[in-house]
Amino acid sequence: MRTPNDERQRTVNKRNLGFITGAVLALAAVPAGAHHSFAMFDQARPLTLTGTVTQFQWTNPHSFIELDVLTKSGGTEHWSIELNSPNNLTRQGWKRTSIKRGDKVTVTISPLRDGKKGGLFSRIVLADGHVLNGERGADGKAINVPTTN
Amino acid sequence: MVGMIASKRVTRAPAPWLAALGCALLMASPACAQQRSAPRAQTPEQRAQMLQQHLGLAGALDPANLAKPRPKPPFDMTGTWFIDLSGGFSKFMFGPPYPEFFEEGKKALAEGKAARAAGHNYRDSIGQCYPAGMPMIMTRVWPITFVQLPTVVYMVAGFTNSFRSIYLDGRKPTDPDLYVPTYNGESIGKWEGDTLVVTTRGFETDHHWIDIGIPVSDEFQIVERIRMINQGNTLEIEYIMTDPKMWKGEWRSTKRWDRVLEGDIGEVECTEARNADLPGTDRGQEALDAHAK
Repeated sequence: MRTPNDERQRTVNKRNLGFITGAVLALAAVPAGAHHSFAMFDQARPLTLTGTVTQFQWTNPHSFIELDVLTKSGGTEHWSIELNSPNNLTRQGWKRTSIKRGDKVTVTISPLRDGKKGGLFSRIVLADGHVLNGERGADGKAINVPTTN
Repeated sequence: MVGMIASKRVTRAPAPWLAALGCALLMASPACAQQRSAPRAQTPEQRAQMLQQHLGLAGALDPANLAKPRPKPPFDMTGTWFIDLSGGFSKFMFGPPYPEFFEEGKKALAEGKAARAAGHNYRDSIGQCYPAGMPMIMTRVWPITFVQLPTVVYMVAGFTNSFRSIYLDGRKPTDPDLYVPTYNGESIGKWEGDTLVVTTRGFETDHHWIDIGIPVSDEFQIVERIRMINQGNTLEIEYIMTDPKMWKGEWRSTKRWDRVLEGDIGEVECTEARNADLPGTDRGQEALDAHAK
């Protein structure tokens, strides 16, 4: 069900902060081993979006979701969300057919620091209420993703 | 075959040039259709012009080269392997510690730090589909496959299926006036006791970085000292990197890879089209800007 997205939720996930300080803060950027640098994503400040899937691609090195999010004024914003590789996702319970164009979903992401409408996937709540994780397992630990700010 | 008819038999075929000219002028003729569809013989000279080869040097898969008597190697690194990140993601980097960089390396460190502080990418060429090149291709978070033969070790990386070959057949490096610069370089290996010592040179320098954007020159050289440890379950490689134009002395780093039993590499391609949907890439950022307009 589509809900007006009049206020984005910003929560600092204290568990993530603990992991971050314990990891590789001292380093300069740590390019993501998978494909490209994750320095552009703010992994300490998750953002939750509700909208309709306009595209989902199950592919290497990164799967992605394109999402139309309803705005307060009744328009839509287009968001690009990148996910982990399918191999990593299957271990979180994903299938290639888990989501498709037209699905109404709620997605939590680590948003781009520059304010553009994109982010790194964290978790998704499907229309039927089913939850799928991505970069982080249910225990909050990062999977195959460096967690530096 | 289209156009075959029971035409009168020609006891001697016309010269090819004459037949082609005739057919160009008489295009509707069934005999010409037959002439067009007949396979042309390829001369040895024509084949040699098309084929890439190094005449006088046996290929690694030349059966005679493979069959030459050689001492049994101390280990066989054939397998699928994954970088050991038990010490954290920093372990796929080659520093710190860093050697003393000259001007370009120092500049890269400073610019990289500033970019990161502003939340921007810096020299994220791998994300833009430039090859990672050596040494970075060794530490992507994807499995890599080695296939070892007496004459060569082939490596195919899971990430972008990057390929390198480590020649073991005693060949010399390519003449400096002839080598083609490549992102993975040209690797020649030799056995020293329980260690495979691999020297790699001849690198492409365009958009070829180490770690956070440290540039390399045409004098960049990597020596890998490869050992198998842990009852054949771990490869340990000591990296000794030199580049007299870019840093002082040796840049050393030791890394490990663990054997993967229940896995295989697959196709992983970086494409401009896919990058357009990934907000963390430069192309993805352009696409977001276009959407916002």
